[in-house]
Formats: sequence, structure tokens, C-alpha cells
Amino acid sequence: MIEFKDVSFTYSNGVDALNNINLRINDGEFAFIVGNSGAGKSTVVKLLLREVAATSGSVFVNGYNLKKIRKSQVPKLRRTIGVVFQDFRLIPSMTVYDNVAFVLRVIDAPRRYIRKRVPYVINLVGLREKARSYPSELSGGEQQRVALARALANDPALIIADEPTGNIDPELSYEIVDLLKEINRCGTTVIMVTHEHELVRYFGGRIINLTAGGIAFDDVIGGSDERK
Amino acid sequence: MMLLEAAMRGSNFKYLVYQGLNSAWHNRVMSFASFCILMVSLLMVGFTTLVTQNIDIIVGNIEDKNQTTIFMNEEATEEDVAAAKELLENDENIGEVLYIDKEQALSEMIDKVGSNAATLFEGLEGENIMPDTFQVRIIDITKMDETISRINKIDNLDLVKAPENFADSLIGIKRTMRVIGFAVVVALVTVCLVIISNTTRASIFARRREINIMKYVGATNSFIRIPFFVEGMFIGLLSAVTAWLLTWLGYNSLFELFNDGEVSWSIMGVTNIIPFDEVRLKVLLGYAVIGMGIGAFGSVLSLKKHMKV
Repeated sequence: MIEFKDVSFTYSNGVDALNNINLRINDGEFAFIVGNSGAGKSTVVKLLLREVAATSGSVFVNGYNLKKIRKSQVPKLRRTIGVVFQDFRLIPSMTVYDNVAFVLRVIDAPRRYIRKRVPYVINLVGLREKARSYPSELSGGEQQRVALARALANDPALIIADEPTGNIDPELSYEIVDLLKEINRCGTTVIMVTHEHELVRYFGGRIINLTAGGIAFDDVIGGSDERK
Repeated sequence: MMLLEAAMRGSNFKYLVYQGLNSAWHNRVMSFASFCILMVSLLMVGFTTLVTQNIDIIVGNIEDKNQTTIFMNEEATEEDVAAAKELLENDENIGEVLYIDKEQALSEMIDKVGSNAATLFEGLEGENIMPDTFQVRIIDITKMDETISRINKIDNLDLVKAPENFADSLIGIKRTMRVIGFAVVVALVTVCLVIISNTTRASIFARRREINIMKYVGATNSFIRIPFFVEGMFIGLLSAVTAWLLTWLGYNSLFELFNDGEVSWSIMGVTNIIPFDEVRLKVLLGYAVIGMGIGAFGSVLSLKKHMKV
């Protein structure tokens, strides 16, 4: 579960990014966070990952109170979260398999578990044939699928997709969101940050619209059948 | 999550060591540069230390040869001489005490002047003008002044001839050598640390994306640091072993030169040079500790900036 209680955040240069936000996302939910540049979307992601701490108010993520969390606990919090970035952030010198396995090695997972889990998640994102390929040999959509497989590798309770369709063809964007929806159906909470309104309109669901550091809209809307 | 947590185990140390060694190989040009700098610096540190220690020994040898002569005056009785002898023998900073009585001093003088003795001692027949004399060796020449003040308290003492300037020079040489040695070691270690830190920065820069991802997926700081630590320590160890072999070769060549029977280095006080066999383990250990320490610390120093995610 994610909860923001009266959260405000001001950057060191004095810019107010979030003003008194109150938000609750339950386990197993799928939520889009939308908004224009500077609306505070990235700050929300940074707060969820405890990259920064709220200036005031409290943030709760997967049972951790991020206001009181110790530095040494931050890696443990992050192990409960899978992150997908707009620029994929794959390691170019590693194959698809190693990029995914890397996450499990980082968290000290046993080899036997890695050997079972990695092919499973690679298969889940439909890249079984590309397991031995390097990122440079893949299309943008495929690279984002690898990033998604990597986010899934440690079976996180929450997936944060920060503009996951920003660097790929519009057509492939739908595939990525389809995949995220599929993951969500298996019980994982998914938060997708995006500024692509068409995509949000198409899929529908819970939409949280940030404007100038505040929540302008938070409701569930129905999807449309029309892909642009 | 539960399944994964249950399957968790201790640190995957082998993987981290492999990552460190792999990184050293991947960045082999920078690794080689670090290796060369570290090795040359270790060689200089090693030679400076060995030369300083040998100079210490050589100066020590010269120190041991110091001689202070104490002359009693004409009025000194047998009791005064005996008391003086006792005082000198019991002084903690006086090594050997050699007593030369008047007769012996006279005969030594006659022997010294040889055929001119008759002219020199004309009119003094039957009279001995030579004083009772003591020749002593000061153990610690840095305490020469205090020792001489104690000697000066002897009754019926005429003169104390001590090599005070010589002692001052030796103390000065020793002190200067130690300061130079220490300064060289500190300077080289600092330079090494800065250079290693800069060279490893390139390897860290190449892996910044990896470090960034590691942080996002929940790697602990130690997990990120260990491969860089291993990389630095590995380069440090290689440099240490190479520097040690070169020191062995170089030092042994010098040792043979100074122990060459045909050249009398001992006249110049160059004796008792430390054989390398006596110090080889200490040198290896010193090189390994400094090399690996600088390698590891230098690597980690550059990491700090990239850890703040």
C-alpha cells in the first residue's frame, strides 16, 4: 500500500514541487499518474523510491514509513519495488539474460533461483528468443520489455513505470501498457507515470492528475476502444 | 517475495570478486597506468626506507667509534683516580672505560715521537709530566652534554676532550635522513592516492549506469563498493609483488657492490649493510599493505559521488 499524508516537497533551489498531497493507492491497484512537465510526477517517483525525503508530511510504501526509515533500510525498501525508466537503463555490455539476472545477483539471490527465475520473466515479456542478445541488438520496445523483465525479476510488490513509453513508437506503447496491465492482474501494484493522455484514455482506470504540485483530479474513468 | 526472501543467502562474494577482476581487465589501459604509478611509487618508498635504515646503521657504526678523553690534573691522587674510574664505570651512558696511567701515557708518547724524544724530554729526566687519562665511549651521543656535565664533577679533573661537534653532525644527519625519508613516503603515498583515485574514476564513470541501477534495485553500498575494492586491491597487490621483485634485484646488486672485498667501503663507515634476506618478508608485507591499501582506498574515494541515489 502507498500513502501520502499531507506531503510537500521543496527542492534545495527553492522550487516547490509538491504542495500538501494526500493520496492512497491500495495493494493490487493500477494507477496512472499524469500531468504536464513540472507538475510533480518525477518528484512523486523520487519520494516513492526514497531518493529524496518529503519536506513535510509522511510517505508510506509497502509497510515502510519513509519519514522514519534508516539509510540502511532503503535498499530493503527498494527490493520491494521494480522500476522501469523512460531510457530503459540497461547495461550495454550485458546480454538480456544478464541484465535481468543482475538484479537478482545484487540482492544476493542464490544461483539456483536465478537460473529458474530469469528465463521465466524473460518469457513473460515475450523475449525468450532474445535472451542472448545485447541491448544494442534490440528495438526500443524490446529494450523496454527487458527493463520490465528486470523490474519483475525480484517479484516486487510494486512496479513504478516512469514514462515507460516515452522513448518508443506509439504502437509499441500499447504493448508495454498491456504488459503492465497483465502484471497487475497477477496482483502486483502498478503505478505508471506518463504524459501521454491518449494512452491513458484508451486504457482507463484510476487516473491521478497532478497540476502545479497538487492533485487536480483523482478518479476512475472507463477506457475507450480506439487506439491512436 | 516470500519465496525470494526464503531463498536469500549470505554475500555472493565470489561474484563480487569476479566482477572486480573483470573490471580490472576491461579497463586494462587504466589498470596498467595505475599499476605502473603504484609500482614506481612503492619502489621509491621501499628504497627510501631501506636507504634511511642503512644510513641509520652506518651513522650508528660511526657513533660507536666515538671517543672522549678525560685528563686528570697533577694533584690527582690514587684515590681520586679510583673514584673517577668508579664514577665512569657506573655511568649508564658510558660504554667502555680505558684507564691509562701516567707511566703508560709517557711510554706511549715516547713511542709516538720516536727519535725526537730525547730533545722533547730534555731537562725533565726522572719527571713524568703526563697525566692519568681515561678513554671512554659514549653510548648515546644525543645525551653527550649531560654525560660530560657528570664527568666534569670528578675531583681534580683537568680536561675533557669530547667530540661534541662530531656528535652534533651525526645527530643532524640522522635527523635529516629521517625527516627526508618520512617526507618522501608521505608525499609518494599522497600522490599515489590522488592518481589512483583519478584513474579509477574513469572505470567508475564507465560503470556509473550500472551503479545507478544497482542503487535503484536495492543494492547495499557495500555490494557496490566490493568490486571496486577488489579491483584496487588486485592492482595494488600486483604492483606490490612486482616492486618487491625489483627491490630484491636492485638491492642485492647494491649489497654485492658494498660487500665487494676489493673495495674498502668499511673505511668510509659503510659496514653492516642490511642483507635483503633479513628484511624481504617485511618489505613484501609493507609493499602489500601500502599497495593494496592505496588501491582499495583510492578506488572507493572516487565512488562516493556516485553512491548518492
